[in-house]
Amino acid sequence: METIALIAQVQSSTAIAVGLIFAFAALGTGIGFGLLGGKFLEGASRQPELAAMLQVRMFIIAGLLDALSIIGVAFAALLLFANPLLGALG
Amino acid sequence: MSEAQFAKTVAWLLRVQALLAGVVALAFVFIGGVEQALAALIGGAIGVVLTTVSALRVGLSMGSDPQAMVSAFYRAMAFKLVLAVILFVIVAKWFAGYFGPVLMGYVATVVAYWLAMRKLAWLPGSTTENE
Repeated sequence: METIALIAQVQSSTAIAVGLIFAFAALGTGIGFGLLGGKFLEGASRQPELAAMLQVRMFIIAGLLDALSIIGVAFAALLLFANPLLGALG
Repeated sequence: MSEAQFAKTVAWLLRVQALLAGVVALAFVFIGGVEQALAALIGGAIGVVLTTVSALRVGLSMGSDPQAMVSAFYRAMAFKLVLAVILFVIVAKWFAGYFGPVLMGYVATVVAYWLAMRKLAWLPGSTTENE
């Protein structure tokens, strides 16, 4: 009975952790992409001939921007589908 | 910078990502064995696939008006995130015991973006003349 309560506690804490991971990943990526797209439109409207060059740089920076959230998503997937914390309970 | 130069930059990025993933996998052969090396390779493959898919979708919008470029870019990034979730869920189920090497392989491909930024900063005409 005590083990079941512990498992339930680990699972509920994991669910909260996964929710926080997704929330902060979405928040950070959303703010970052919003700023990135806004600055791109600013630059492209000032100098339209540089739009293609700016898009290459935007693509590179976006790859760095969403890398951390993808790593967070990877950890969340691990916690959801193969939770290593439950292994400690036996 | 034209579509050809975008394609050239992306091809360079993919080559470096594959190289870095290979180096990490080789390191894991000596550290933890073939299984961990395979897991690191799969992590690297995820990074390469995500870059390829997003680059294809962004590259198709090159040359159109900025608004269409931004909307195509956002669609590409949303698709990339969804694809990342799907791939990492599959990997979490199959490689749960080797998740460290998988993540190391993926992180190695992220390093290629830093190198690409450095490479672009050294290209002639990388700063605007009107500033």
